[in-house]
Amino acid sequence: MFYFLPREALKNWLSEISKVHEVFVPVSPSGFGPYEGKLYLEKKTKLSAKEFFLPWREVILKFEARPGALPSPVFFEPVKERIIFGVRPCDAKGLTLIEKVFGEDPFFQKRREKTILLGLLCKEPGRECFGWAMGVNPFAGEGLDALFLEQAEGYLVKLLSPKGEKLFKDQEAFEKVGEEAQNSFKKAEKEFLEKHPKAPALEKLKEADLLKLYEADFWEGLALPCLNCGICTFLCPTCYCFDVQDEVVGLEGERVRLPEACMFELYSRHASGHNPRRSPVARFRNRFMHKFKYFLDEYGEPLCVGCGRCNEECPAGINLWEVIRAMSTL
Amino acid sequence: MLTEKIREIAKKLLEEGKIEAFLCYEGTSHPFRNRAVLVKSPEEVKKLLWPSFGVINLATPLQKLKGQKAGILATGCVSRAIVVLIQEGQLKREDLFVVGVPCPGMLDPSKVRDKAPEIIDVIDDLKDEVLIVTPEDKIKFSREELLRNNCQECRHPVPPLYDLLLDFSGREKSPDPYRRVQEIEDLTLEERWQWFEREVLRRCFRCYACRQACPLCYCPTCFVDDSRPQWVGKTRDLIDTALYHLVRAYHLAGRCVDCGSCEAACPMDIPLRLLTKKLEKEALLAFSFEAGLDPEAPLLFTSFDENDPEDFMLTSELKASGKI
Amino acid sequence: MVAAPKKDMIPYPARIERTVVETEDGLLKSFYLRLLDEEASREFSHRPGQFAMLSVLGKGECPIGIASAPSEKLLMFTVFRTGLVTDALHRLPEGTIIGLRGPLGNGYPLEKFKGKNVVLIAGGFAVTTLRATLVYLLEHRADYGEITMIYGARNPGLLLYKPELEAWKKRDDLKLYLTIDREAPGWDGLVGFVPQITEQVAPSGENAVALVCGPPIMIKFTLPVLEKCGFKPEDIYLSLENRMRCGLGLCHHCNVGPFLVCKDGPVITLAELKKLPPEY
Repeated sequence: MFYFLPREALKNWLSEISKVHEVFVPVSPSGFGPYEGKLYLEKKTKLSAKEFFLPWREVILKFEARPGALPSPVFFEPVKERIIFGVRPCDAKGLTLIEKVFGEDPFFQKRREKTILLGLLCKEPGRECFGWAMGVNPFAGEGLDALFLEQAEGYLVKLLSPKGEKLFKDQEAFEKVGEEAQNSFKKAEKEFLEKHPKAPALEKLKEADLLKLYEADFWEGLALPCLNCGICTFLCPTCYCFDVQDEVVGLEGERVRLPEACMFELYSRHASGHNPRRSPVARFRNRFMHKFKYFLDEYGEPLCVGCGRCNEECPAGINLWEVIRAMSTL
Repeated sequence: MLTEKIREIAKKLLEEGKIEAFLCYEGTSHPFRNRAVLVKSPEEVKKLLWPSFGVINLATPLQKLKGQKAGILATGCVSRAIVVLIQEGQLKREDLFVVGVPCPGMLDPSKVRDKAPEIIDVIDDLKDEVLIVTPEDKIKFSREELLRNNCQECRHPVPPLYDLLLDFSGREKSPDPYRRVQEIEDLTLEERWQWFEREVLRRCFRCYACRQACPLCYCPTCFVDDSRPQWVGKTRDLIDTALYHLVRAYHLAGRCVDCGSCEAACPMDIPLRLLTKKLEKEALLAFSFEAGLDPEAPLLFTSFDENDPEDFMLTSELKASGKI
Repeated sequence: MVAAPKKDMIPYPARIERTVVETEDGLLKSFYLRLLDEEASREFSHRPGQFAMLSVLGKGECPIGIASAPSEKLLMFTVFRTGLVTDALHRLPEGTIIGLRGPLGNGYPLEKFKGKNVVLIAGGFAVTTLRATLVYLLEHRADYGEITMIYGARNPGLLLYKPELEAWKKRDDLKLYLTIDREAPGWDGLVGFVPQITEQVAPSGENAVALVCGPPIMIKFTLPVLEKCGFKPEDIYLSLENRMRCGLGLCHHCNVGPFLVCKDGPVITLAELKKLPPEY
């Protein structure tokens, strides 16, 4: 089903739904925030909507910090249902990839359940984007409840889930639209897909031999400039590794889950000091082998949606495509 | 052109067998990013170029090459980092062939980025002008405006240590290296804390890119990664973040060469360099010491002189001077 | 059979009923635990070779192999004092309540071993889950062929479970070879590294499986001996260890290539291991 929202009605509508829901939008080039009138929709933000599902700090237990205390579980319980508007389709697709692993994780799932995701198609792919090459069709809106396509006069909205349908059932700002509008959506999709085909690289990676890839001699050269900082992992909408830490202030203790980066030496270091991925190149290789071989082999899709944030933000100038190219032409 | 000179000398060194590999920069598909690259054969030198955006100090990847006889392109701050690493026993002088460049300064990707919504190319004349190429236009900027802060404030554009110095006229020494530090110093104690909290602590998400990019952060186990005892918590608690940044800055006192890699690596554009720059200023004023100028000289923290000033640790004198 | 692990990362409260310092250096201590929640206690069923996350609130969690057999009333863990959590654990007195999450991981496929000879090879404190296995095998003695155990430690003071070792020595349905690395006063048993002793004992690989647990160096030199004895890579079982956080296949710390030690392991055959990158 499709609706239409005139451009000038968007902000008003966001204010309206803010009365019932907790509404988050992209507020600046760096990321999302609660809707307070500010809206940044020009380009995708530096931080993706991943932080709403795998937050910077997820408290999973509380406890009194004394020996023998019993823990009490903590689950995410928002007072109001959350709406996140302006999520890019690639980022939503990223959430569906994480969900393949976190399907039974109650923390991730609670957050998914209590959130409505409203997507917004980009006007143009960004300079570093390559989502289509990773098999992402942004018009399909995977992981989203509704998808907004910007047109001359406003937004054409495609509903994608029962949650989306429920939300839009009684939104007065939106008008139902007929077949013509639907066709314009399909036309835009067709044009996009013709211009942006899936990359043959993925098929080659599926066929590649795991150990040969692992032992390939290109890793050393590719990893040389890598600083083994965690920027790419933190900004990546599909990287999901987490750390668990106990924090105690006075008598109040919390066990928290927080994002972690496989680039760090500490990530794989045993308590004994032994580290199976001690060398920087081993950690570099592991990240890409996970994304483009291990995950691909297991789930049939790479753990990458081609958002290009890593390319855009890597301080050392590493380009993911060059890594994929090396891996797929072995 | 500088790029031609670099390729020529790298080729010559490789052909003559003086080095096994040459560490320099190459271009990327991104119009304002350069990347470290190691070339091992004369045929590969065509990749090499002078990087207008070589924001990560080459002395950082250099440490991955231990045991190889490597050539390296060195600006003032790369050369100074190498000096400190030699002084601290991390590199061997004889393993290196340092090709020095009197540095024209480099451009700041975050300053360039904000000049136009879409940038296709950046053309740098290495002197006065930078052209930013957009799909529609070429926009002219003064080079000075787009330079990295540390380059604007650079006291040593000419490398102090080299085996060969390329013939090029770089920047002059900055007449006013501590302007930005002074701005913070002029704030009240409370304002300074607010600045630190707002600009550093609230923005940092502890990715440690600053540490990783730093050529002098080479501890095998950083204190933040220690688990027994765990000195620093791992979440984004402001106290822990503050501890990380302060200890890191102090650990670089008398060592930092102000290459700006930390700031360049930061994904949140935190003005990290100001912390280390402040300590650089202290070392200069109190001990007339500048890091990384002479591989034979003692390190600031390993040398003691009876006449060293002590007033900085005497609270009463600091109070009297209005510093606290 | 084995209960599916709880996905919520919330540990069961468990009381330390008893502790036993196992080694002379005091670095190994066994903890006998009882789950406080009766239902959890009833439902908790594990397979030898599985592990659990032990948790000291305020310090963290760490994965420890379950050293007790499924039939034993108390859950037992023998813990090497080496990191933040194990250090805290060692300081706790009997009676303290700690957290326990599990059972986690796959464990040994003991059903599959029925009718076969079983060779257990252990080095140092990695013997823990093999102790659980041996107790299970002896309880189901008739289901299995010959049972052989080779167990080595650096010196006699570092051998775990000494009273049990004494009892096992006396059994005639178990071939037990205890060895220490170097001669020591008062020791009249075998002397030599585990690989050498394995070579001397030369268990046959015919209709047999071998379960090997120990430090990497021991494993490295034992595997060729076993292959020489005729054990096929599919019949050699190892138990991997890696840093891990969740134990549920989520946090990804413990990956060895595509293999997650916490979920796909820790038990793995040599045949499977050979297909993985050497990151363990």
